[in-house]
Amino acid sequence: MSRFLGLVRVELSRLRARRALLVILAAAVVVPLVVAVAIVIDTSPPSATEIAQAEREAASFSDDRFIRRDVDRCLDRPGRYGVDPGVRDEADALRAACEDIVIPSAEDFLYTQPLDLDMERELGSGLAVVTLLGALLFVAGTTFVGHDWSTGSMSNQLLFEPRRLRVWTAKALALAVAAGAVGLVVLTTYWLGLYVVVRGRDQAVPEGTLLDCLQHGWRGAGVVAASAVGGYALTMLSRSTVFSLGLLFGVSVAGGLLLATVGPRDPGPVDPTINAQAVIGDGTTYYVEPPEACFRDDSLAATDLDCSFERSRSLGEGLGYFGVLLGVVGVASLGSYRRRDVP
Amino acid sequence: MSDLSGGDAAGLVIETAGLRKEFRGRRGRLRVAVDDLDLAVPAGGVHGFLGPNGSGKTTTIRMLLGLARATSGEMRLFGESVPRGLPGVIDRVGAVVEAPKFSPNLSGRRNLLLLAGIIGVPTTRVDEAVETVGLTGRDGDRFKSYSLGMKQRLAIAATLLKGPDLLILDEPTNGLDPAGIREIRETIRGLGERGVTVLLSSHILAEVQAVCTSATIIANGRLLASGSVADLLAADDDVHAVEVPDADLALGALVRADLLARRVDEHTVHVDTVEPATVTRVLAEAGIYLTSLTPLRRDLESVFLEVTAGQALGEGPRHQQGDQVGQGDQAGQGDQAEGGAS
Repeated sequence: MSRFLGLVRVELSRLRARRALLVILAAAVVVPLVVAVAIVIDTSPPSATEIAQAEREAASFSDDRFIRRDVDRCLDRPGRYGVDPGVRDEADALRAACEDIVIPSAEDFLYTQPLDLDMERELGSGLAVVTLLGALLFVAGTTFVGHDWSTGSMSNQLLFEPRRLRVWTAKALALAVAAGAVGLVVLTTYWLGLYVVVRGRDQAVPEGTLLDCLQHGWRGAGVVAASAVGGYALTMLSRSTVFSLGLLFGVSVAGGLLLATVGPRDPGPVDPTINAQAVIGDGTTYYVEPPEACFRDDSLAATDLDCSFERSRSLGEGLGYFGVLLGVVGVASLGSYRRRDVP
Repeated sequence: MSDLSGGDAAGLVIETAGLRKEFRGRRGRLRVAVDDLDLAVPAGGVHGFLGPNGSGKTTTIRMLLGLARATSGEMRLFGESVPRGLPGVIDRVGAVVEAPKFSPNLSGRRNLLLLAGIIGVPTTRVDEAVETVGLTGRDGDRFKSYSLGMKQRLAIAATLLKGPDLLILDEPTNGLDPAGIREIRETIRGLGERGVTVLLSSHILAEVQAVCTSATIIANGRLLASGSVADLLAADDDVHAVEVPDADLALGALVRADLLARRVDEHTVHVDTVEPATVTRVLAEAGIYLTSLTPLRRDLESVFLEVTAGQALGEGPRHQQGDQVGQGDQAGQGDQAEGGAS
């Protein structure tokens, strides 16, 4: 056992020693940082200068004759402008309401959306960051072992440890630990960073939101680690970095097209994106086109057709999908590595 | 196919019986790289493993080290069956197979440290190995900046990390300049003197003769000769080279006198196992006056050319369906054909 752990330590050292991998890991830190900075800047509250500018622009409209004409129309027909019926009988209140509706205010010139953690997690950058990290660590996995094959150092390693199952497992474990750690640190920091920004802006954060975001990140770290191991296993099978990267590219480009054209009506069980969303988001909802029979009145009563547009995929189903995928590639990879001659 | 004797107990560090390796070519054609090979390497000394390019030396070594699977046959290292028992003895075996293979962007030292980590030896062993092969001071440089000789020395340093009892070196002087060859040769000789058994695979016969105590010769994947270098060289000690004005006339006279002779060139005939006086008498009776009669001092090259001659001219490559693609040492049969012609 201690020799196996020594082997894992060596593989971790090999990871640290590889410049290409360090560049990829640096990108895995920098890319989410850039995304976070962009979000923070995009949602930052307006400065005093911007507010003053907006107020000036709003004030310039208050005396505009077209605006004034519009206010008069509102006073004549308040119903058209959606004025509250309760104030229509009081002249001052009606004027105030119409001016409020028609004359642009300073806020109308300040185009900022406050930072909302729930929205970022469910519809915003959360999934994008995990996807980017997953792709980067997949490349790291292929590069890590592709280098061993291309330089021939794989055979050198086997002259020191001929048990190929151990070598395969040690490399996979080292990669999973490294990728998982990077994913965990980066995604935890990402969500904590956004949380600190929100609190720093004195915005309220609903109870449990931070934990939801962190759990989102932790599940994402698992996906990132699995992606790295998947890239590794595929390259151990093909013995070529180019093949693995080509396959990744092919699946991401042609896979979507293939699913859309010849895939099943409900893509949930086969679509990697939906399953990734299910894992990262602890279940997901997606939409499908119901069968044509649903739109024929006579058939509805006679069948058990599911005519809803909405479908859901659970965390367990997503895990099962990726577990089977990783298992198949892993078994093929290990079997090939144990049986084939090493150049 | 013969049975294995039991390896270590019988004083053999390497033993194979009926070893066979087949490769499938691109069109499914079968190529036999190693064919029914029985190899026995005794403990101690430097053992040469000779054969022309493409003869199956590297493939045999790769099977012994678990890098390639044997199609059939048995192998033992230190009495342990390979590949099953390989993990139990691999720490006693150091090997350089073909070109040195390391991570090019890491320093030589870093490469050695990674390998040392696999077997859990201390870093002081790395220092010792680096010093033994004379890389001290350059071990911090990147592997890709090394000359070929330095790369070979680093590969040998890697084998020394284990403190091996058996060292397998596959063409260790390939591409080296004369000074590099001498350095490697001295290192190998020194290791042999320290009690390490060395299997030196090479097609450079002078190199093998210079450092080896015993040798095995193979061609087309088959064993042709094996024994101590002294025995191989002494096997045919009574050959004489006869210089005559016309080799064909002389050959006819010698053969008519029931002597074993063969024409070498238009003025030279080699005659086996006779008294020199018999040769002069037979030729004089035929009216042929020889220019010189010299006892032939054989070297490993002539032994090698003799035993591989039939393989090159007679049998040709052993392809079941004619595929020429092999693995490892697979270049040509050029020097073999030259041997056969002489």
